[in-house]
Amino acid sequence: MITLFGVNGGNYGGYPIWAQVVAGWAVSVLVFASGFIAKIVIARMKKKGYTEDEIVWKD
Amino acid sequence: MEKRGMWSSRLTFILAAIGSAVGLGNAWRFPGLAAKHGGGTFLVVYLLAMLLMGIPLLMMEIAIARKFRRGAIESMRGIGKKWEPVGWAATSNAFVIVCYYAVVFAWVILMFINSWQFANMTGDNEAASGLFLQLTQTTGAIEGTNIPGIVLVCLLISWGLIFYCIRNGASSVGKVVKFTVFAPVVLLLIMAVKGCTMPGAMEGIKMLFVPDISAFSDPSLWVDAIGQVFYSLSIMMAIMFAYGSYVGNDADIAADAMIIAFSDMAVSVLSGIVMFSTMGGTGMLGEITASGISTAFFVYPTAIVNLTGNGVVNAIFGAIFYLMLITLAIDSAFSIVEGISAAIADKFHLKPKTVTIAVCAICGIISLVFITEAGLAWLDIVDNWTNQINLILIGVLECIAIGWTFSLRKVLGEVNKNAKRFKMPYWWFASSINLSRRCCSLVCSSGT
Repeated sequence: MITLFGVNGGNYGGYPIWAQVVAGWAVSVLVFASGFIAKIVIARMKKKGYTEDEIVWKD
Repeated sequence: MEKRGMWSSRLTFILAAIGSAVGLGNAWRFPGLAAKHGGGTFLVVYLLAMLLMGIPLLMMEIAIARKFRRGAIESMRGIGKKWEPVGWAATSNAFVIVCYYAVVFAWVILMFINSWQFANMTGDNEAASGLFLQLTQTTGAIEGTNIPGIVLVCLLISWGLIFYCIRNGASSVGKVVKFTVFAPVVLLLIMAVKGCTMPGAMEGIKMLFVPDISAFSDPSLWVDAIGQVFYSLSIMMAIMFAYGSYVGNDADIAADAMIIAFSDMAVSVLSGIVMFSTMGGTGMLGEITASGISTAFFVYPTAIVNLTGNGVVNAIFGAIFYLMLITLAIDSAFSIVEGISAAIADKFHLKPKTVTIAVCAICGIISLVFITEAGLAWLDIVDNWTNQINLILIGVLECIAIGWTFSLRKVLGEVNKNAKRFKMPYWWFASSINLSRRCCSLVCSSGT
């Protein structure tokens, strides 16, 4: 994790740091943020009539 | 909403899941990582990771998806509303992976078409290892935006094949996997026989199976092994949620998951035998690298031109090798698209076929980045992040969601619902949850 954040300026794998930021950091942030972005979109869709299914674990 | 597609039989589900699990990761990533971590050492840790994390998590995903009859996003929402973003993360990560996986598939098609060129390269290592670079015009550095026409054609073929295989969801997948699961195994066996009968092959086999005790303390070994298990079993990528949601209520999930996991492992070991025996036989054992792409496109072609003194025979083995990779890649590629499509279609009540077309089109456009001259470098960076860091983090989050905030016993009950000969014990099922805590610290300390 130390390598990820600081050592060699994040320039591991032999690629420039800007490339790691674009294809590595940014992509990963988008992956983990996608759910929260989707929540905002769904909240807007709900105002236009979209309804989510009720999902229950029935024993 | 359309009536949900179901697997036509238990065998179809098992074959589809094996087809998804067994892919390029088995053929080149596994041998590459084994070489990096001292062969037998990696094999032992991989087996442990498969037993303690891979198998329980595979069962969890299939059981939850069958219970809810939904893809990854909605299934995770079923576990708890706050966990829906984990389903989205798994789906988004799969979206990124398929963008470059289709490109690797296209490169394999390109090499297969050009494998006749090995006939004129007997003993010429430089020409063989340079063939891939010459065909793709990739530089391996972040420079260049040109796209070679032939690679673009191969990319269109790869996306066309992917869409064709999943055009009707479970029903079309069921038909395709009856061929794509068995064909690579037959081709691998042919390659294994050739490799093992070469003088010097035993040196390679010994390296694959004999562990080096001192290497066990390396944290990156454990991270690589766990990442490989997740990647190879197609878990944490929305795939097994989609496939599990098509499973019948009478399916024995515990037994089926064991068959899937051990088949996947068997193919990995068989691929390892092919790679290590061939490299041992051609005196190139030290050339195997941790990078699967490097091994498949630079190192293995060199081994091919040194297999025999007859160029035509070498070219035939080259064609067999790349045909084997095509059959391995196709079912993994379409299963990723199927996982994404099922998750989105279930979430927004859309027609699965419409979503599949949209996913293929959008990913197809994004994948153009990876066939430029700088494509190999971009692919290497994205692959490192999505396959190791993201996959393990999603795994840990899934374990927290299911094991710590939901009822693990409920999920286990679903796994063992139709169990006949084998019932998954609780301690084994819970092992993945306990190990997920360890994973967090391993990822943090390894710095991969």
